[in-house]
Amino acid sequence: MDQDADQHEPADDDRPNRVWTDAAEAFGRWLDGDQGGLDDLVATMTPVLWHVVRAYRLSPESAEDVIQSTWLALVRRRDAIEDALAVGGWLTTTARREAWRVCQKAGRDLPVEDDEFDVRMPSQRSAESEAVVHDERDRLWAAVQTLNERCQRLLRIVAFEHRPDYSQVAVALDMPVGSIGPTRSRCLAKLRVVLEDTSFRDDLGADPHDDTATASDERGAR
Amino acid sequence: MSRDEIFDHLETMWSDRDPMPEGLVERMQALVATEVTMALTDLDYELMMLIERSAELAGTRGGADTGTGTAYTLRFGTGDLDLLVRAGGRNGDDKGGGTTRLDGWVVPPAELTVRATRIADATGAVGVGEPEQSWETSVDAQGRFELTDLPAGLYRLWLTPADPDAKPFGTPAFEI
Repeated sequence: MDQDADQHEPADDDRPNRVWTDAAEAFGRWLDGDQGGLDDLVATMTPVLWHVVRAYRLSPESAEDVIQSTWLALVRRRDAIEDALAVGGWLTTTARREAWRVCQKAGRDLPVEDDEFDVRMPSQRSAESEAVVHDERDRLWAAVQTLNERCQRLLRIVAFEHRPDYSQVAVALDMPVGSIGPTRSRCLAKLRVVLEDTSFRDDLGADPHDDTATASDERGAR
Repeated sequence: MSRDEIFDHLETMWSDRDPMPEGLVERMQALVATEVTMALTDLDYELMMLIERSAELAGTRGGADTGTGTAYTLRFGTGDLDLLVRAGGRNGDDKGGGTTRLDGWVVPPAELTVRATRIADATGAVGVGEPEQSWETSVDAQGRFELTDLPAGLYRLWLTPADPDAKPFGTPAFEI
């Protein structure tokens, strides 16, 4: 059924890969002896790591600890990264593993089955999520809050990593690798349904007749 | 709306709703700088992992009220050594400009020199051109040590065994 075809597609705009190429370029400069390269790498990738780690609902303090461990690991094990282009993926994978480890140690259950987790853990921003919905961004936020925790985590990781390595995501989410694509598609489909109900798509000028079924994801809807 | 457009919106949304804490990039830059310095000295050390952070203070780090009047506990460990650190409330004035004391407890007790290095100030800024600030003390027979009058900032602790053949230990950075 759901073969997530875009997994191996080349990027179809500049955005997805810019972070990775900036990171690779900065990392390469550092390896060549330019200390500024490391500062630039930290500046480029720390925001991505923040969102990837916070997708696990770690507290800001724990999230910062995980990000710190990731950077220490990079400096201490830089020789292990053979291809500079891989540095971004190495960092996000390391951060996800560590976030996952911290979650498990804290006794937090990460949901295994898709729909078991309809009752979400309270997030720090719950007060905001209850605020009056008054514009598109609030509607999108409210729509995302209706998704289960796994969907929210997966969408956030994909949004910031752009083209994550699904085999690594599978490990970090404790899911079979083959189910990541379909799960992502289901999460997107659910989000679209909720957004339709709140007219988000119309406000953005989207085609109201667009098929919201899972299959539309696989076509890339371009 | 295409898939990529949705992900663009999601990226913007999460950046707005849950932005990085202020100074995070600067703190991480200060951190990697210390690590690079250690690598250059060729001094191999064992990195202690943060095992536990006291729960009662969740949410205060990085905020305007960092450290004021509240104590918190961090536990670091390696296979061989456990380190419990308690950063006490501020000493001194009421305006938040005071200093903090830090109490440590090493298990099992060992003959160690403890050095605290302040790698960045409270905003994450590294003092350009300033000599690195550090404070030193020793672990007593019960495994305890204390450092007083530490200004707020980002710190790492280095524990050096009296035995010159033993590897020193280093903690990740933490704010006090």
